[in-house]
Amino acid sequence: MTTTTDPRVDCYLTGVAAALDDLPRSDREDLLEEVREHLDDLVHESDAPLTVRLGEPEAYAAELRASAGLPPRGRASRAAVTRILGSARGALMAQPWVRPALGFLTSVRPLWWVARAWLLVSAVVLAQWGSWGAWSTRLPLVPHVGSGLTGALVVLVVAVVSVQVGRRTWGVRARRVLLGVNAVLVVAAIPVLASLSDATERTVMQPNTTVQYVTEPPQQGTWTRGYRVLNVYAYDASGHLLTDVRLYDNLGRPLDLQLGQDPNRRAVFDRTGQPATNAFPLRYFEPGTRLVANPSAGPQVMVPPLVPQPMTTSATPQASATPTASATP
Amino acid sequence: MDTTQLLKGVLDVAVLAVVEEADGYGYDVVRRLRAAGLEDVGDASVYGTLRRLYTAGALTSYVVPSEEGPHRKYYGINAQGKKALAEQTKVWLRFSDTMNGLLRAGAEGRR
Repeated sequence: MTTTTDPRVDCYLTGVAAALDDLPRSDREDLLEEVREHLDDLVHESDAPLTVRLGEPEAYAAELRASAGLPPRGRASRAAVTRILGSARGALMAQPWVRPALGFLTSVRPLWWVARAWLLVSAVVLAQWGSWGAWSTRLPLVPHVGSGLTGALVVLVVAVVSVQVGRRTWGVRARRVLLGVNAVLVVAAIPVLASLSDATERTVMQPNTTVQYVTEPPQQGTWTRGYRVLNVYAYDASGHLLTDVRLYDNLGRPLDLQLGQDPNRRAVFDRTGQPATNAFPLRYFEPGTRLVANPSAGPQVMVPPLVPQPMTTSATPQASATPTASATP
Repeated sequence: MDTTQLLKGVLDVAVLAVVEEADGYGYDVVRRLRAAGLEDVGDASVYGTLRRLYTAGALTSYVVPSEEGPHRKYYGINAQGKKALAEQTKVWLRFSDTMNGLLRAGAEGRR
């Protein structure tokens, strides 16, 4: 451009150029050339400041963009992305398999609505375990919230909410939020499914292991009503504490409390020299000695003698509970 | 009533009409619109509209060198622009007739 370089024109033009800097170069240069022409005319016409006659350069640029059908500042790059995505989408939609596939996906959407509820609850449970430093614990299929039953109920409630959310038609902003939530859940599916498959893998890898279905708690040892059993005391029918009683479970396995090694625990051996870890009650030596201070110590319980009840009687109603109670013919 | 809002809807046809009358450069079109009575028309709006009509293929453009002052980019109407102008003129006349009828009837009713 061969023009006068009036400082007022340059100054104003710089402002307009800055406000157009996101446009493609050719568009921008075309526009600026005409703007310069315009500004030159105006400064020749009168000495009034350009901002008084035209407003701020940014406002001038915004008006120019709007009337020229160009996107507002900041949206130009986004518009380019949208255009590229749009053409990619068009190419994809032209494939013959895309429409049936989309139709199929649309009809199985409710499955996802339920699945994401399960995912959400499982992910939260897993995160809780993670924060308790128990990542090694496997995740059950029905997430435990207190118990498996309440876990299932929570999943059910969340699933109802999720389905209702899925059925409703949302606005653009809410749809964006939902898209974000879905994306987070898809990512969360990775650790959730990993801890599930970890559990199945363990079962598959050790087919000889008898899987013990202890719903809660899954730890080692013997438990009763939520408390670890640390010792067992046996009383006979007359209410006397027995010592060194060998206990076995229904499969003939010695009852093992799995308390681990303790040098102060009194070790008991059978005649073959094998340790008898199932001889109860367990007794402990006084530290530094080989002496059990009180061999007859027991829990603070009153054990009244039993009323003698022959095993073959079916007359008393309580006795019907025992399997041997039915009289032989 | 805010005439700038009204102008937005009719600026295309106004610019086409002015350019059809005689070829012109941007600021020339602005001045002629103002002289015709559209005093509120924004300079940048006219430049933007000219560019959009040109990109849409309704106008032609050519540069005229000048000895004093800058080169001028002139705009002229072409066949497509004339057709668009004729259609939009029809739309405008029908619309303004409707509005005139509506507003006159209202004004007589109030009298």
